[in-house]
Amino acid sequence: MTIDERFSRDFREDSGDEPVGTRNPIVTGPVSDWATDFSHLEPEWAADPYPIQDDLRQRCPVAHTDRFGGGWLPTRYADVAEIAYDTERFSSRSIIMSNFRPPREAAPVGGSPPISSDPPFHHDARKLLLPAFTKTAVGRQEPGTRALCHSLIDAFSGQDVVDAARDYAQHIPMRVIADMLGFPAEDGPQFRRFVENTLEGVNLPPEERIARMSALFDYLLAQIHDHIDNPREDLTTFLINAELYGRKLEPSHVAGTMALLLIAGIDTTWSAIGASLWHLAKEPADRERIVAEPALLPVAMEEFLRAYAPVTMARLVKNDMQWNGVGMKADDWILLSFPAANRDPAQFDRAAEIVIDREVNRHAAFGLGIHRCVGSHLARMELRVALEVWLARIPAFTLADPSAVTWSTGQIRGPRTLPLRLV
Amino acid sequence: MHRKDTVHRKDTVHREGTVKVRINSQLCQGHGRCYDLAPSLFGDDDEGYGRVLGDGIVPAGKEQDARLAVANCPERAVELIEEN
Repeated sequence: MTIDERFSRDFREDSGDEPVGTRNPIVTGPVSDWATDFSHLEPEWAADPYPIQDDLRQRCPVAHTDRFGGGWLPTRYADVAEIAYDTERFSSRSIIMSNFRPPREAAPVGGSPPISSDPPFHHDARKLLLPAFTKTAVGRQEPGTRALCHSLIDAFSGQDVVDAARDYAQHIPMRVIADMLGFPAEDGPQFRRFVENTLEGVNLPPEERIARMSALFDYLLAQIHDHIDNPREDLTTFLINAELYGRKLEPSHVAGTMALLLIAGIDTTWSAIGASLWHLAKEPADRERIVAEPALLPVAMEEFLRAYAPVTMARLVKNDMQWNGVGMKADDWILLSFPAANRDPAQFDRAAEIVIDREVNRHAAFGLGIHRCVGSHLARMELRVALEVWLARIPAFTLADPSAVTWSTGQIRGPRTLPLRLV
Repeated sequence: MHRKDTVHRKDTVHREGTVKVRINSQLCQGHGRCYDLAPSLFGDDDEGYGRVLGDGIVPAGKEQDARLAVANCPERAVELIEEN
């Protein structure tokens, strides 16, 4: 057994003397005006954010809220792109818009590098991960992903109605990322709780939120210890052994990156698979065309990613400034809505329509600029394989009960209940 | 940088010179749309960034692939250059 001193005690205990960040009062309840009081955590937004975003883009393209201690919501593609590219004035030190702001000293590393990192550290932390997530590297996961998709559909046998979100979509990224990190496949249900706690528990009381985040890091620390004792060919062992600037990574960096890969790897792709199946269930002409022309699937998939982009990010304003006509204050949030950007008619023809053979599709579903989703090639592989296998096995299906479909709340949007009738 | 655009298609390509593809590596973030859409013209490096295969000259019959790669790069990093 190797002794790795970095993990011999809980790294979280070392942070006692450091600045603790700031909390603001939690405000929930119906939104009075989306232009001045928006909240992405209210049920109206979860159910259908697109009319809200389209309305804001017309009448107040950079909306504001006093909730979450103050924040802004740009809905035009040009504004979203400008902020994504401007790492000088907007920090990634927290990318979840919540009622807690990490201290300024948390930059440039942040809690879950590299997504929470700013330049120049960001580049080096990201470079470590890139080789594991190239199209070629993630291609090695394709045969296992395809076999998993078949086995999930085998289990539908005898059922007329299945929940495609619960019984299909969620399992695919869960299993793939567990394999890549070297976590036990049977821990899937725990991952779901971690995801919900991190991304949907934003308005919980602080003590509850802290307790739930602790459970995630307790789990990761147990996995780190297991990998120190039993090194293997996976991302956890890779991160434990990785070096930056001539030394091993800080323990908080190892655990933070593992948390990122686990959380960001699961509900994003789960949402993309679910939203695509939801669309195909309610639009028979699109479904029949893709079944008849399987070569169209990669093109259609990009359109689903544009129109139902699951991921919204956040930034923090670095200093007081005037920005495109609004007065931003230091530490104001930016809710960086790639879904809103993707439906801007100034950027996309027929922006509100789903055009499954759209030829020009510069969508921003995986972000723009230096924080381009590191797992985008993995997500595209999983989405393509999930849809290929589903459509080959189940070419005809409909929404069993449109009113029973539920969508996740918060920055990652996708179906969480999706009853489909298999015809 | 945020104008709408279309894929320019010509039934007959009049070639005075050659057409080449180029990637602006200052802009490329490794989305991989170019090597997805035009795998005979682009590949990826070991970090997933796009690279032009060979001399980048677009052979006859691959003009549409090249245009798709240009039209789908989220970072507008792929360029088509006509050389006379």
